[in-house]
Amino acid sequence: MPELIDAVIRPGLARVEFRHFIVFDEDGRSVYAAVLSECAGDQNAFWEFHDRFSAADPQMFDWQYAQQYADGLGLDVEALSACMIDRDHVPTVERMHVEAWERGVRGTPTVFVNGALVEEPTAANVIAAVQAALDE
Amino acid sequence: MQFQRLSPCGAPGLQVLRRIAPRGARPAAASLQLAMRRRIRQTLVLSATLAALLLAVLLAAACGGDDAPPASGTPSAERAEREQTVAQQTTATQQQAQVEAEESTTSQATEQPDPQPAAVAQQQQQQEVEAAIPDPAPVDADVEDESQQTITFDDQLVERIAAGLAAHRAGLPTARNALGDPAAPVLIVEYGDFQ
Repeated sequence: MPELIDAVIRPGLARVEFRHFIVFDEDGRSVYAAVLSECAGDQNAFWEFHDRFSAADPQMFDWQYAQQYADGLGLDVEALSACMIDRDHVPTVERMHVEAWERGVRGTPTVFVNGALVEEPTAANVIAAVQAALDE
Repeated sequence: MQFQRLSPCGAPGLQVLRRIAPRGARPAAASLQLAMRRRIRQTLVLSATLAALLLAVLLAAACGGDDAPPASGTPSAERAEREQTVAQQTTATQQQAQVEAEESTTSQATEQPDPQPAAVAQQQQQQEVEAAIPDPAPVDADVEDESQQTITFDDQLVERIAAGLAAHRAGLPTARNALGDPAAPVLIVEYGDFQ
């Protein structure tokens, strides 16, 4: 992601959108993390939670810790709790997952550039795909 | 797709920082040893019983000729000599049978040079075998503690990674899950899974 940001996002050549695809959710962690990040997204803090989950912070799966983290970011913790308890974004995550499945996604990470699948989505390949899309 | 155990409020599936200790493993090993002991005892008793039966059969066979009525007119001196010979043969047979029984019951038991009654030999063999079987190992406190340890993680590494990602993102416009200029000509869609 850092290479991608430096090469194409910050120069304004491309924007990136993260979507959830639940590969393995036997213990409920993936869906929990997806819904929690979406609830944080309601307060425009999706990427802060994305960073923690991407860094594989196990504490984020502890709800008490996640609340403290949200509080540290200055988020409305009560609103975040209500979002989680009411499961507001379960349909959001489910919709993303179904859409991904219909597009042929079977694992993560899977990357599309302007709708075209990037095989072996390394940073270099994605940057090359962006350049190719710009050249079209 | 299954959305099980989604609630973050104390849902046990969401807090998996602790390993479940394999509590059944050690008691199972101890009970296995006890079962082995019991099995060896049963085998010893059975073998000793068979050895006693064999001895009795051999004695009966050896004394069988003596049970027959003596032929009329046999001198008493000859009869006494024959009885002495049979007694010597019986003693030798007893010794041989006992040695064979000991060898068949257990390899750990030592041979008894002197003839002993089957019951005494059996008891001694049992004691020797029981002494040879080690007691169940004591519970190792370190192993028990290790099984219940909280999985550790490098929180400093997590902080560095998260801080690095945030630093790269700094100043970029964000809108929910989107990062970057909304007017950018290329859209990158990344499907990911937080684990």
